Amino acid sequence: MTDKQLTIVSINGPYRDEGVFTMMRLAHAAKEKGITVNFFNYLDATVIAHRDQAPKEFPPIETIFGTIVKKGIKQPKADAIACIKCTDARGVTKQQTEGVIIGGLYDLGEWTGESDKTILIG
Amino acid sequence: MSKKVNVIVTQPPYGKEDAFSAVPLAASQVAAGNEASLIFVSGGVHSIVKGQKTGYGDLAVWFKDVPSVESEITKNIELVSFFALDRDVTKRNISDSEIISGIKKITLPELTDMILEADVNLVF
Repeated sequence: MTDKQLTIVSINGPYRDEGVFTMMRLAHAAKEKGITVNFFNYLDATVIAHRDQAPKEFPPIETIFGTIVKKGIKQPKADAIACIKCTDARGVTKQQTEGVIIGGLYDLGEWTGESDKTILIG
Repeated sequence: MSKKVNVIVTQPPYGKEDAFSAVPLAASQVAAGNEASLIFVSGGVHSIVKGQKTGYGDLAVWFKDVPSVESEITKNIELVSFFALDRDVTKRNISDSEIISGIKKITLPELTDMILEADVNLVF
């Protein structure tokens, strides 16, 4: 357990490319090292945590994401915010998986100020 | 703690949502107490051209126009420092008179320094 904090901004949706899975592996590895992880899902990335995804050919990204976020109940924690303008635009505001908070870009600004590192995976 | 944040936009406007969405992201960084610069590079420099017209056509069909990246830049020009990489601007034959007022051109060494001096670099 460290007091390090990493904020990960995602902008891509799942499945079209491997970027989101890379982000998950990175977040998981960071948590294994005891780093607190903040997820800010922006633009198409707000679909990552959409409930009830059932891909036939790929690992279910929502379940993986939810597992990483729920593990945040213990330290090191993980928090997840989905951008409200983006979820509203895509009609997924009420469909976010458990543990995801609906928020805005100001929250990302605050996380950026608090975090040791902030990265964007696009 | 206040951070120095660079938002670097490589994507051209309108083909993707990235350029438009990078601007409010940078403005929100400032609102939260950080210092934000937005730098257009590669095809991203097309966003700096003034006089952008974004309508698809008849509003009875299309409901509303696509939001203008130019308007988003202009709205936040006092809040965020906007830059464009000079070599990419030249490559695309964008003249100084076509550039939205308040956007400064920078060289590659200057961009390198900005990246090294910043706490956070976010690339769209």
